[in-house]
Order: sequence, then C-alpha cells, then structure tokens
Amino acid sequence: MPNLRPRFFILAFVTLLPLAAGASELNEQISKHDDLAHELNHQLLTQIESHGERQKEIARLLAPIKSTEDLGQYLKTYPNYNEPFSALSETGRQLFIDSLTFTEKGLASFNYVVLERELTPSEIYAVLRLFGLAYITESLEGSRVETALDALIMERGPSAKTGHSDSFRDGYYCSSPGTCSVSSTKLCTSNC
Amino acid sequence: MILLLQGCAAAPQIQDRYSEYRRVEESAISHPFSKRATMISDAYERLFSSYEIPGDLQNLPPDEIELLMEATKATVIYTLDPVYARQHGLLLKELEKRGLTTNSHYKEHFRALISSGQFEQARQLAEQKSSIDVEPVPEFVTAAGVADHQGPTEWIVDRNNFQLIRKAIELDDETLVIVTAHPYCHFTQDAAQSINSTPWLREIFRQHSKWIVPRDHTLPFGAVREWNVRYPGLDMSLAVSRDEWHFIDEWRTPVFYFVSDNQLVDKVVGWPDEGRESELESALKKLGLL
Repeated sequence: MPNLRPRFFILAFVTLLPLAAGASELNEQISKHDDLAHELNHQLLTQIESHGERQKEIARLLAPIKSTEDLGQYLKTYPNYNEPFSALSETGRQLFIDSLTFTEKGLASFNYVVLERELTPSEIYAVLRLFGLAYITESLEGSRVETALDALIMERGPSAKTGHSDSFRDGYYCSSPGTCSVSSTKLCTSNC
Repeated sequence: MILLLQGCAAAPQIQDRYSEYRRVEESAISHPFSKRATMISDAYERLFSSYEIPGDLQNLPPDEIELLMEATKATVIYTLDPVYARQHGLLLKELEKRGLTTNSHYKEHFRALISSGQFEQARQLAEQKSSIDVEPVPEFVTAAGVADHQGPTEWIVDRNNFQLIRKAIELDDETLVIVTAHPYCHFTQDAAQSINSTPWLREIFRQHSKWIVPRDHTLPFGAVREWNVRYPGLDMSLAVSRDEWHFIDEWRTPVFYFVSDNQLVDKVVGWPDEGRESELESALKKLGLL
C-alpha cells in the first residue's frame, strides 16, 4: 500500500499556507489599524486639549473681573451683591472675597472650599465665570449636585483632571513674593 | 483625645467656632511653619476639643460633622500630626454609617493620611476606593546608613521602579544651596528654567544644589520623576520630615537656602517675574561659590 502520509502533509501544507499567510496579513492590517486608531485618538485628544486651552484663554481675556480694581468696580455696580455672589452666605461671601488674590493675568488664587460648601455647581460656575475660570467648576467635587444643569456641569470631558490639572492646583495659593504656599482652603490658578 | 458632650445647644455654636477657626487660619498662614502649626492646633483645641469624637457624633447633624471634618483636615495639613488624621478618619466613619460619604470625603481623608505620613493606610484607601482621583502611593525603601544618621534625609524618586528610597543627606563640611521646591509650583518652574538657561548659574547649581519638595498633602512621584528628566543636575527629592531641617523656617516654594557646613549663610525667597538672578549672585558670593 502506498504511503499516503507524505502526500497528506504536502496537501495540508499547500492548503494551509495561504490561510496562514492570509491570517498573518490580517493580523498585520489589524495592528496597523490599531496604531492608526491610537494615533488618531492621540491627535483628537491633543486637538481637544489645544481647543480647550484656547477657550480658557478667551474666557480669561473676556472676564469682567481681572484685578482688585475690577472687583471693586463690580461690587460698586452691584452693591446688594446681585447674582451670582448673592448665593453665598454673608460669612461665605466675605471669606471668598477676602481670599481673592490677583496677578497681572487675573485671579491667581481663591478659597474654593467655601464655594463647595455653600453653592451648587451651577452657582459656582456663575461665580467663577466672572473671573474667566468657570472650567474649574467641574473639578470641585465637594459641591452638592441638585439639578440636571448641576449634573451636566460636573460631567468631565476626556482631558479633564481633578485637583492637579495643569490649569490649577488645589491646596496651594500664590503668596508674595513669587512663592507657592500650602493652604487647606485655596487653589492656585494658571494666573498665579 | 477624650472630649466632653455639649448637647443640642452646640448646634449653632459649631458654625461660629468654625468661622473663628478660619479667621485664625487666615492670620496664621503668613507665619513661618512652626508658629503657624502651633497657632492652628491651639485654635483647633480651643474651639473643638469640647466635642467628643467619636462618642458624640451621632448627636450631630451632617452639616456640623462636615464643618468638624473641614477643620480637622485643615489642622492635619498645617501640623502634619497623625492625631488629627485619626480624628478625621473617625468623622469619616460617622458619615459612612449614615451613607453620606462622597468621593470628595475620601479624597480629603487620603490627603490627611499623606500629610501625616500614614502612607500604607493611604495606599489601602486608594485601593479600596478606586474611583477617587488621587496619586498612586509608591513603595518606600530605606537605604543603609539612614538609621544612624544625625541629620536630614530625603526620599529619592527611583528612576526605574515605583519606589521612594530614603537616603541620608550630608551637610557637614558641605557647601550647598538647598532649594525648597515643588514641581506643581510655577514659580519653582520659572526659577529652574531661568537657572538652567544661564550657563554660569546652571554650572554652580548642578554641582551644589539640592531641590527638596516639602512634606505636604501631595506625593508628586510622577511629577518629580519628570522634573528630574527635564532638569538633570537640578534633581528633586522629597523631604522626609520638616523637623530634620533646622535652618529651614518656611516651606514656601521656591526658597533658596545657602548653607556652609550645616550653617545658614543667606536666604533668597521666591521667584517673581523679574527673577532673582542678582540676589542669587550675591548669595553665591557670600557662600564662596562665586
């Protein structure tokens, strides 16, 4: 009886080789696709972050309060603490206003604990928008969420971080001359 | 710490005491570290020692427990004392019993544990509450010779492993510029960039400086590692204890301490917009490095 084994292996080799080659080519294509997807995701994140940084800079430049003088003018214009400061208690308002430190760029540090304790995210957003810093609101996790708008504000995008964003640092404040100091209530913004 | 029950009449008083505590804090933070810590701990004891923790907590409404937590957390941050971190933990447990805790509460407790050097507990908390956004806690290793060392020590950020290695720092017979610094502090970053881009300053600082991150509520392992890659020769390490540094009276960043044979020769504070190159030059001359 002829030995069919070598023919079997040859047949198997001939049959399976194209499949193996095809699988290898497929794996290579998948790998290239993964690399491309990763690169696209990275580019997208970079664009989002770049766009985000531009938006922050625009907000800063358009902020109505960028200095102690601006603050004084604002409080004179709204002597009865019209929105949004009116959401704070009298004590809280004083604590917050007393904590404000400005540089030539704008608000450099402030008491965020009093905002978290007394205000909802939408109320905090309204306060910080005056200083061009509304984006910080989503990172103030201690605030109480009461409405759908509050929940929306507290949703975080793909590049958002908490507490250690490149745009601010909680637990520190700008102290003169040209130093950072620890604080249990303040955070230090990118204007510091 | 055993405290006495005051009763329901305490309800409005906690807010008043908390406001008073914050006023003391605001006036204390401009003082050097040791005096600030004493002022704040004295205020905490005076204002809150009448509330028994945990015995009386069940009688307190949640908002008052929150105020106590805030004051306790603040006291840990300024004193670095584990006693207050334990108090904070007991307050947290009371909120847990009532189902009122949030990620923010756990994050603040994590910071209290880091501030007070209770790193293993901090690690366990981070592992149990993976949704809180905190820095991972590295492994702590002690190098040979530290136990017998009479002087400051530092935690070196290992380049390859997720470890902080405690090593002794020799100050006797040394001429050094000790810089209190923080990778998150942009004044520190400005100083390093300026020094690194000024050849004569870069040369001196690469040979004679140590950049020390103060003990506080953060453990910036990753940021320090990145810093050390970015500024070779201006390597940062982490202070183990503020008490080890007899000539450092304030832990703002950056502050430059010019030290010869473990004695302070000069000090330059901060890095404002105009820089501090001329002050550094003057201090370096006093130190004999220029």
